[in-house]
Amino acid sequence: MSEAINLRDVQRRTKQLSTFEDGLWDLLLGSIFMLLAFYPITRELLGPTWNMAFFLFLLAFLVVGQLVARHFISGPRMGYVQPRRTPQMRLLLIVTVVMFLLTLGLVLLTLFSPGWLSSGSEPSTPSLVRSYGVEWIVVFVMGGIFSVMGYKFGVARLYFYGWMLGLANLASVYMTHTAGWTFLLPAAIAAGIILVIGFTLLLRFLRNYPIRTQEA
Amino acid sequence: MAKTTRIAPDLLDLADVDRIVHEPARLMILMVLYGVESADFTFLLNATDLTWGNLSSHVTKLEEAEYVKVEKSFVGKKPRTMVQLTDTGRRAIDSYRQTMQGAMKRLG
Repeated sequence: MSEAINLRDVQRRTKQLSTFEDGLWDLLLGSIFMLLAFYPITRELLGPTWNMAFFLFLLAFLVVGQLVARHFISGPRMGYVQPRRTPQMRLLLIVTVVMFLLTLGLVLLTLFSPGWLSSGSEPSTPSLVRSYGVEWIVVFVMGGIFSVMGYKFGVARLYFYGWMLGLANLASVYMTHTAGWTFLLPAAIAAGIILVIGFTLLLRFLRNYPIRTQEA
Repeated sequence: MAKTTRIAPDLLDLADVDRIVHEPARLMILMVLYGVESADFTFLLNATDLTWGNLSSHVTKLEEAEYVKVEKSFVGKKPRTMVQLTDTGRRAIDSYRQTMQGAMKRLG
């Protein structure tokens, strides 16, 4: 053997193959942030309550759609794997889900809060850094969470996603407060980039992993 | 007269290495299974780049050694073969790793 086998690398590669190889995770993430980009527009049309209901419905639809796509598209090509349920893995899963929900909640709050949370509406603070303290926290929280995930799963593009989404959120809030933009263009651009990457990965996946017909 | 040993005593451990685990293809299969609860044949094929025939014969050998457990089932009308590492298999990998790490350390 020319090099030492690192068990952690093998496990990381297994996780990559089972979760991030097909691009469906990227498509889900991109779609969620694309929904957020359109959120203010639909809110004007539907009102806050119905809009939230509509958003949650679409979110559930996307999550279920991703699971269905994974079952019918990825499963037959990539195979099925049951993750090992060690206490460490359980903790990692819980932390990931909680942090993801926290991040989503923070983004929703900073984008659509009535003003008490997002300090960007305060005209007395001139500096972008000082005025948008909460949004900067979101940048670092998102960058941090995605970086940890990227490191843990060995998926380099997650580092990029975290910082890009965090900064897109900041830019969206800034443009909403200063220019009165309804459509969150920076968030839409970031989501669009992730969607393009997701589609590219999915096409590559479909080409590289044909359905195997023979069974053992 | 004292009996002379032809190879360094430190390397004698390597002679006792588990040959079921030591074979590269089987080692790959075991390493993949070490990190998961169970995986089906298709996943193992993608993770190891082996052919169906190779994978099947190596899994059979591992099953005979009771290092893995194979369960065949049907999902709808499609057959699915799940492979799971047994406790014996897990211990065999741990022991193999220790032996190899010790030998590599001594080699410098």
